[in-house]
Amino acid sequence: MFLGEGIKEIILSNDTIQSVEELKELRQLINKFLSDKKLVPPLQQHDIILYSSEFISQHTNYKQFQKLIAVLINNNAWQAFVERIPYNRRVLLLPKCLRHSTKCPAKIDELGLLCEQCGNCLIDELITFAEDLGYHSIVSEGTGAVSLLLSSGQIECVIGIGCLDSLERSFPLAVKGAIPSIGIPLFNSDCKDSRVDKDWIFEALPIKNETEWSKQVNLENIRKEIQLWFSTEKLKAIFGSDNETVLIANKWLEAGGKRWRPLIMTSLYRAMIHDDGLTNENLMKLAISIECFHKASLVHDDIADNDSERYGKPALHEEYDVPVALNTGDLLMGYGYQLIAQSGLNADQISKLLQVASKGHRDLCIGQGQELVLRKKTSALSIDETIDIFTYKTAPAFEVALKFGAIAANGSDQLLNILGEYSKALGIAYQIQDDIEDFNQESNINDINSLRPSLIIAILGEKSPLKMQSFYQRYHKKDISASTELFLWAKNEGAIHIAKKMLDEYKQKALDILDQVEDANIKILLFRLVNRILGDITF
Amino acid sequence: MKKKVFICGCKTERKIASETVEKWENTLIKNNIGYTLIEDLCGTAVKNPQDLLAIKEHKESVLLGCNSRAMEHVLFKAGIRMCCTEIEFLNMEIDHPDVISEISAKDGGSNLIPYKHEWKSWYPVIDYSKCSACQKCLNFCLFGVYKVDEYGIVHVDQPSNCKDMCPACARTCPEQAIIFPKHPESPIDGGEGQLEVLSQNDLMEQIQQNADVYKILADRRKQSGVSLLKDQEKIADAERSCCVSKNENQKVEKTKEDKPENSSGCSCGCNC
Repeated sequence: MFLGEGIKEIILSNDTIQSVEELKELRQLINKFLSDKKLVPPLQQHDIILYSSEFISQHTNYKQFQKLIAVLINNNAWQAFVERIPYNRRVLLLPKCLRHSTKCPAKIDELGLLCEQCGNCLIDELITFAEDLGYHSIVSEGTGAVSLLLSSGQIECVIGIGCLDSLERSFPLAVKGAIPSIGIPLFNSDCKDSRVDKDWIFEALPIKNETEWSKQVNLENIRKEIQLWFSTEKLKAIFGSDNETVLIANKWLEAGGKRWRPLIMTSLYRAMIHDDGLTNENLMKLAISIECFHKASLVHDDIADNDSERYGKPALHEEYDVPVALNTGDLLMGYGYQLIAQSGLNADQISKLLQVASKGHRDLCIGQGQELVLRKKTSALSIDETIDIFTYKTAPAFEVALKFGAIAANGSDQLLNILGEYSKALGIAYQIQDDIEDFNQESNINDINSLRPSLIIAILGEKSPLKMQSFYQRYHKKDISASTELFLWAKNEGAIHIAKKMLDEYKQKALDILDQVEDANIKILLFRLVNRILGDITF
Repeated sequence: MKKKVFICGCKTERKIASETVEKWENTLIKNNIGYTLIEDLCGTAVKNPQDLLAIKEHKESVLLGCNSRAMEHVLFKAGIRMCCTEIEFLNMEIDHPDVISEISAKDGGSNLIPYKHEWKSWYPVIDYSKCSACQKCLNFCLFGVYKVDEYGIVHVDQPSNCKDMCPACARTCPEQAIIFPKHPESPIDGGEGQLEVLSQNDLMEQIQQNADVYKILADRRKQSGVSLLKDQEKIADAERSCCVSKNENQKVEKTKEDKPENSSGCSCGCNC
C-alpha cells in the first residue's frame, strides 16, 4: 500500500477538495512549496510522506487531504519529465465509473470499456481530446488491467484518472517500474457516475516541452540488440576463427546466459548519452569485454566447484578437459583487456576502465578465496561473514558493468561513487535472492556444496551452532537424509523468512542510495534495474 | 398441496421495473391468488433474513422475481437451501403473467415483508457450484466485501461495503461464479448469457508476453470500430468542405450521385 510497513496503522483520509478553484489553488501552493526542492523522479513513498508532512505543517488547513497532497507532490516531481515524452508514448487511463451508470451502451473487453461515444458522459470528450493529441487510452474497470499494464515494463508514461483509493493502489506499481505518471483524482469515490475536474485534465494532457526528447531506455530493445552482438559472425569478426582455441572461446562466449552485464552497461550508457558518443561498434566492444571477464570466471568457477553442467549443458572442462578449460578462461581474460584497449575512448577513460576492471577482478578473487578457505571449516559462517563474502563476490558484477557504462559516458566521480554503493547493496540482495531460490529447490542441497557460504545456513548456524555442526559432520559423511532435515529445519526456524526480510532491506538500501542521483534518466533506469534484477517485475 | 406465492418488489437499485411488478401483482389479484410481497428480496436477505423464514417453512413455493440463479443464491445467503424447500422461480421480465393461472396456489389476500433500510441492496452473491476458491475477488475488491474462512471458502462477508453499481469483481472471476442480482448485464445478473469479450485474442496474455503494448492499444482501438466511424466522419467532412470550396454549384448533387469509390471524380483526390 501507500505507506511504509511501520506506519500502516495511520489511516489517511480519502477526502478530496470539491471545488475546482480550491483544487487549483492547492496545486499552485504545492508547486510553489516544491519549487526550490528540485525533486528528481521517481519519488519513493517515504519521500512523498516527508514532503507532504512538511507541507501540511506549513498549511495546517489542508491536513485532512494528505492523500490528495501526496498525489500532487508526485505529479510535481514527474511534470517536467512527462512534458518531454511524446504524446504517442503516453497512455490516458480513465476509470469506467465515469460512464453514465444506466445509459452507457458500451461493451467491455479484457482491458475495459470500449466507448461508443454516445456522449452521455465525459469519457468520449476526454478520449477524443487525448487521442487527437496522439495519446493511447484505456477506460478500465477495477485495477486488474491497470496493474498488468504498469507491470509490463513497456508503458513509458501514464496520465491516470481515478479515485484516491485506486491511485493509491497503483502508486507502488508505478514506483516499481519507475513509470512517469500524473494522477488526477476523482471528486467522489462511489464507483458510479463519478465526477472529475475536466479542466484539470484538459490542462494536464497537452503539457509539452519541445526540448529534445531523449527516449527512455527500453531495456527489452537493448536486450534484443545485445543478443546480436554475441552472434557467431560478430564474434568471429572480432576474435577471428583461425584456430581451435579461439573457436572454443567464441563458442563459450556465444553460449547461453542472461547477459546481465552487457545489458546493465549499455542501458546506463544510453540513459546518459543519447546520440553523439561511442559508435555502436565501440560500445559493443566494451559490452563484450565485460562478458569475457564474466565467462572466464565461470569456467574457472566450474572447475573449482566441480560443477559438471552449465546452462544445461556439459561445463567446458567436461566437454574438453580441465587444462583446455583453464586455458580458455585465461584467453577470455586477455580478450577482456584487449577490447578495453580497442574501445576508442580517451586515455583518461581507459585508465579508469582498467582501474575498475582490475579492482573488480581483485574483489572477485578475494571473495572466492575466502569461500575456498572456509570450505575446510566445520562450522557455519556468521551472517556478517557471509554478507562480507557476498560483497566481494557479487557486487563487482554490477559495479564493473555500471561503471563501464558511466565512464564511457563521461560520468562524474560522484556518480561513480553512487554506483559503487548501489552495486554493493544490489549485489548482496541478488545473492540473497539466489540463496533463497537455491534452498527452495531441495535437490540443490544434496551435496557438500550446499554448505557453501549461504545466508540461510548462516542464519541457522547463528541460531544453533551445535546443531549446525552436526549437520556439517553428517554432510561430510555423505549422509543423504541430512539435506531433507536441513531443509525442514530452515523452514521451521523461519530462516527463509529472515533471509527474505534481509533481501528487502538491501533492496531498499539500493533504492535509497539513488536519492543522491540528480539526473532523472539515470535514476529511473537504476530504479528499474533493481526491480528487474531482483525479479519483482517481469519486464 | 397448494403452493405459496412470493413476489419480489425489487425496491432498491431496480432490476425489475415497478410497472412489471405491478402487472404481476394485478394478475395475481385477478386470479384470486394470495401472495406475499417481499419489498426487496436482496435487501431483506442481508438485513432481516429471519423475515424470509416464511419461505423456508412452506414446502412448496413460487417466487416471482429476476433470474432464478440470482434468487437461488440470494436465498442461500439468507440461509434457505434448495434441498429443504421446493421453490419454483419465475422471472417477471421473461415469463408471461398468464402462467400464474396454471399454478395451484392458495387463495386469499396479500402479505407484506417490508424493507425499511436506506441501504441500496447492491452486493454480490457467490455461486458455489462454480466458485473455485481462487480468491481473485478477495484480492481485487478494494472495500473488504469478501473474506475467506479457515477452510479456504470465500464468503461475501460485508455486503454493505460493496460500492453501488460496481460489478468489477464479477468480471475478474475466472469461473463467472459471482452474481450481482441487480446488474443490468447477463451473466453478471445470474442470467444465461456469456460474458461478452470482444477481442478474439487474449490481450492480457499478449501483454504479459511482452508484445508491443502500444500496438495492442492502437489495434484494439481500431477494432472497436467507433474510432473508424469517427475517422469516416472526418473524411466525409473533409470531402464535403473540399467540394464546397471547389465547385460552387454542382457539388451537392455530385456527392449524392457519385459513389465514393467512383474514380472519375475531381482532381483533388477526394472522390467527390
